[in-house]
Amino acid sequence: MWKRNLINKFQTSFAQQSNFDGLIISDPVNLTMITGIRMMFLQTMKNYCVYVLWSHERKVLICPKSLSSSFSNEGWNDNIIVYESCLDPIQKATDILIEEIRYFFRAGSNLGFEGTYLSQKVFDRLTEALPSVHFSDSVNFITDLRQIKNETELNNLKQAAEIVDHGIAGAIHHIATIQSKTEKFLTEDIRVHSLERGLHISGYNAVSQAISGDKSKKLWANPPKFGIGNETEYREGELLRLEMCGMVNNYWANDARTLLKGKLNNVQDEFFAKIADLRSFACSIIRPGIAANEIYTSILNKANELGLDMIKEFGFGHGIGLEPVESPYISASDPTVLAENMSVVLQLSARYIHGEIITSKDTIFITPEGCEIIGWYENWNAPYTTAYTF
Amino acid sequence: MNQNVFLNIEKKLQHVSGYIIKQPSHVSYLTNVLFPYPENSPYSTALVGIPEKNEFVLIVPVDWLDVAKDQKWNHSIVSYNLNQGSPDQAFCDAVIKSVTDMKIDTENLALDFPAWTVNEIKQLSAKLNHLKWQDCDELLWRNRMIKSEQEIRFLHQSAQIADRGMIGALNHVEGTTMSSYYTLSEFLERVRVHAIEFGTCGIGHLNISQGAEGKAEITPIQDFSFVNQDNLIRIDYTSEYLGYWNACSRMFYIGKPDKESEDAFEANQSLIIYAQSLLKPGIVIGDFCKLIKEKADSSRISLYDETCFGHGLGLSEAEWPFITIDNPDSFEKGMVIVLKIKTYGPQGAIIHSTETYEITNRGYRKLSDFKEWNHLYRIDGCRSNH
Repeated sequence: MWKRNLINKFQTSFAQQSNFDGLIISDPVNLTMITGIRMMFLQTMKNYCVYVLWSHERKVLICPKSLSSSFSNEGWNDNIIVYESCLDPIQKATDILIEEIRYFFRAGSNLGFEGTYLSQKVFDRLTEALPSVHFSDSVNFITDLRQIKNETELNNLKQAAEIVDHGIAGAIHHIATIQSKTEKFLTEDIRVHSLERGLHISGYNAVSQAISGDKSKKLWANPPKFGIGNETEYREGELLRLEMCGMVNNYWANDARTLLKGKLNNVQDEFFAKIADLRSFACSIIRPGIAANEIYTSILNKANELGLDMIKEFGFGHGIGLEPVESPYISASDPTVLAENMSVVLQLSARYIHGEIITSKDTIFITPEGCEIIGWYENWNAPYTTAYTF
Repeated sequence: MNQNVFLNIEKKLQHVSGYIIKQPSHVSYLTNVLFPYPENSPYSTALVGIPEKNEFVLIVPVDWLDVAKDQKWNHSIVSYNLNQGSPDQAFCDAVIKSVTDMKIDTENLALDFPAWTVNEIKQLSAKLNHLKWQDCDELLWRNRMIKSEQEIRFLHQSAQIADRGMIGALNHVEGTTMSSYYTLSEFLERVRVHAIEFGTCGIGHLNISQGAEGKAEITPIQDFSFVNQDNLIRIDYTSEYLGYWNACSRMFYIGKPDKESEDAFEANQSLIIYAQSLLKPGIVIGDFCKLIKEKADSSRISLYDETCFGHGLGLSEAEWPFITIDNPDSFEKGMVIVLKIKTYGPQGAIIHSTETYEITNRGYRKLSDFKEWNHLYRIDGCRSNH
């Protein structure tokens, strides 16, 4: 049902808001929206090439024969043209695409493509083979479509945020001040607890981290391992940065919380109170009509006022939806004006006294009047502190 | 820095003044720096270099600056951040600045052309005078096809870890199939957990199918379905060790396999054994594929994919050589491939059991040698404690 709803959203927007006669969709993330299936390996395995050619009259999916049943099973019920696996699937799929455009589009048709994804090499082939077709970048149409969520999308995002937040909380209840576990096991526990609460299993960047001490001075603690903990033990008094990315119905949660192994001291108490103040301030200004770069500047000014050492290079957040990080970006450079039903992650990263990166990530929905934090399982205005023992 | 690569490919290019490489696995191959799931990120990396002057700049998003430094990157590094522009704009600006600062003649560049998007080329063309390039992408892939001894060691380890991950997961599921059920999702998570226990550095694709669902190659799990008795299960996943990937698919039967399942698995194995008998340097890959197809036809075994039987492995999950029926290249010593022969089983489910090989002087060496998977693995029985 939710898949059909998203396909309908795309169809309605295409009919009502775009000036295109047709769209070429090749970005696997955008393909997710109109096919209902997320194939993350399409981004990494170049022996597959998939296109959707979408027009008012006809929708056609071009894919390797081996994937056609996967698309059909997951809800694609329009035309499918398959090609046999071959040495150059991009060329094969592009040849089919060219033939489809030749047959179904008149000279002078305006075809949209994803300029931020489509390779120049493919684009050159298209323009050479189809000189009478007008190609224009559809990035604004697609971005608008993805930034403003409908009810189904918001429900998916809410569910994902709630599950992951609960998953983190569930995992850290297994840590006590004198009975701990290693970074590897807590990292795993966060993932497993999220899955147990209904997160949909996926690979790649659907990972967790649980980093403490000096290691938390960096974003990725154990390169070349990413999202995989090691045998590090957590010491009493340490702050742990807990992170988890995961999906429900192809919509992401991107959550970060803090655990303190032990009791809060005054310095920590004061630091987290400032972060809470900053979060409250951010939520007080985030509303429809405000530009992302304006939010960034206001948060930065407030952080300076509070004396927080913010990591401003990351910006203070980003959109979330079919990707864990997407536009708009709450950064100095993004003039996007926020609108009702956008969903963003408010990311407040500050350095604690020894340089540890403390990060808070909250999923936020833009409401008619302002904004709403989604998914808090517990009050994160202070870090979770462990019980002394079980 | 893997500078010999430039010496190899430069012979086939004409008067190159500098390189801009963007494809993440090419960048890792040249720099020995791995990044966190780069293709699944909005951020790009690039290597800008003038090999003859030993001048290289690695361009990274600020989030990955430490990642590069921690992996001992000792040439220059330039980071970009979102306050400078959108991910692709800030990235392109950093590339343009590096090319300009290094005074690279932009009329004689080499770049891995297929990796560059329309918008990126537009931005580069607008700001780099008279931008002209030669495409070095194919040369890089070809160079990467032949693995060094170290790469083969990593790929061997990667293959072993992948199978250990499977076995570890199976050991949890045994004895749970008639009571205290595992969900499919949890079973698959056990595979990831055990691969991590055995040393994987990252997990990529994850897929599990059960019974008739296995008719499709990709079967997302979006509920709490259980592992059920009397079913064929297929798990497909990719994992990497120090950046070197393995693609692993294994079949299991929950309970006592019926004859149809046993026969289907045996038929699949017969094609693997036949393919192994052909595997040696010199055989044209397309001919290799045709022979497998002929063997399947003559044995009345239905192939799920009749034109592709695997691909190379390395710093990408799937790379050259692609084992496709139209590939005119021949197997060469030093290639590492995964054989993927997919056939049909009961209820139309895909039967798929991968094997990883190094092509040697005389034939091949199996790298997926943690255990033999020549019988359908049975998950059955009860668990007892005393």
